[in-house]
Amino acid sequence: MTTRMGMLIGLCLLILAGSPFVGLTSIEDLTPFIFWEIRFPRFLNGFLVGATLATTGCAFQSLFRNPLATPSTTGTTAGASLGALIAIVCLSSTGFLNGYTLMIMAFVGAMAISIPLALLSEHPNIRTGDILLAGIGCTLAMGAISTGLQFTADMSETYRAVQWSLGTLSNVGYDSTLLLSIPTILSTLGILRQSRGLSAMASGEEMAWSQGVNIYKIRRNTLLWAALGVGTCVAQCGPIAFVGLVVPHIIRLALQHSGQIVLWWSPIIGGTFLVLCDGIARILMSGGEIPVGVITAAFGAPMLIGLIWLRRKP
Amino acid sequence: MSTVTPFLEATNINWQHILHDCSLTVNKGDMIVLVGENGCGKSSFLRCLSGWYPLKSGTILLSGTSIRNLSPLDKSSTIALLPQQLNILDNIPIVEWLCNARFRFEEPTQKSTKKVHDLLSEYHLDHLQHRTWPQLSGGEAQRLSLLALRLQEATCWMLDEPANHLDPKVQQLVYRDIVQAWLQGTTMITVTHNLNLLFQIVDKQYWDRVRIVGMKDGRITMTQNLSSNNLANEMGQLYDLQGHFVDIQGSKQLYFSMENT
Repeated sequence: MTTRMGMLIGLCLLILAGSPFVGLTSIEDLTPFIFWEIRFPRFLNGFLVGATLATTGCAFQSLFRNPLATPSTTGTTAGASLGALIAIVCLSSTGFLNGYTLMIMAFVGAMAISIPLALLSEHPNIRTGDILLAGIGCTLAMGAISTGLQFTADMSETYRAVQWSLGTLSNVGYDSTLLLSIPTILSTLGILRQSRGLSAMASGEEMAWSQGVNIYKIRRNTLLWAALGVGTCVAQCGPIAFVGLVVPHIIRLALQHSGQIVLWWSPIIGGTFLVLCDGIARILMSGGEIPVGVITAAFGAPMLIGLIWLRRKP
Repeated sequence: MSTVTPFLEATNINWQHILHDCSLTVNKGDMIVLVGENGCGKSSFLRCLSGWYPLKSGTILLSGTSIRNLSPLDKSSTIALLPQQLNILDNIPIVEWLCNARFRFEEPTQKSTKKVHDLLSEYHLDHLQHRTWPQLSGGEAQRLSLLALRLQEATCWMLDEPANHLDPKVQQLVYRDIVQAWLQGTTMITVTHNLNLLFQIVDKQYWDRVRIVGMKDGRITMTQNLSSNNLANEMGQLYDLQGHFVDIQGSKQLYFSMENT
């Protein structure tokens, strides 16, 4: 296990050290300005977003005892998408539509779904499985409303909405790093603080509760911290799929271990994974870049199928 | 004259049309055995007593304090619960799973891990430490679950049919572990159908202290000691069968026959 951990750390450091140098600009043309003002904040943002999404994904998989739970399971992403779409459709004609209003509306959308759900989860008479169902219900409802709104929107608004929904790290600088860092770091630390309780949930809610775990508080806190972190990430970068789903499984497979340690590794591997995907997004297409959300989904989905194949019964 | 507050006092528990006016007083160090037909409400009653099911009517006092007002952490030093079916996540390592039982102590992981290893050695179960949950047999899983209860160091264990699905030897081992913990001072509330294991494992001198509480259609209809001569008859009535005591190699055993045969 120690060897595996060492190898994993080595690999992460290699990816993290190399990725800011990868991109459309060749290394010879990479001026200090491009490196420090564009690549480095983008690298930091990628790491923060990846870390938050992976930590939330891992926590949700423990909380819901479901290996397919993701940060978007509880409707946070769908709420943010609807918020962004409302901003695009309603504000574009008023002239108020800019990066900040879009971000604020997406964040409001994310919170409008996640906070009521988190508060609901504190109620002892509500089963954890039902919270998952409510989250999926919210996601589907938000998706349907979004489709309806897109139907009424004109071509340019729809194009902008689609562009936003692909998820990208390209429109960022140090300002956004600062904006992103506080909520995401708080959210990650908040979730990591619940690690013992989340781990105890593996025994089933009844036994965990009897062992002293306040499962209702754990549910509420995990959902609230996740809402803050994921809401901020989605508001800034759009929805970036598959990171939260795949990364915990990659860690389990790489370390051949599935206990509490997976949660602690999630921010490191999640951050590295997104930075790697962003590097790939920058170099894959000559003359332009592909939104990172496309890369994570394109790589994440086959990776997930591969993992399921590796996990098959002997 | 001073009155001693009972360890647990349940009064007029009604729950979801399943339990009707169930009352039970448990003193420290008691062994309560809940018996009755399938579906009579034994497991529901146990879950109410543990505080897991929120009550709409009736009260449960744990050392004089309403169980409603106690947080899971407060309760965990008093009550350790073993549900009938454990639903453990597949790949969790055994040692880490057992460490979860130490949650209430808020101690460093190394300390919990040491405790777990010590106890695994004491019970000669250390060969299981590198397994995962699906790699355990039903008996191994149940013995480890009892170890989890020991690690929690609660003053009362609540067990829901702890040996029902196990082979005869493991049933004996599991009940030996339970009776040993009881004789060491743990208050025990257990749901079972098999009193014969208790006749075999509990020393005759303690039979007076084992209280058999019978339930029928959600009501408590019988309270007897293990030593009571009327137990066979009352147990028979509980299951609509004829109950008899038989002697097998010097050990008292309960035997049931169909009423009309």
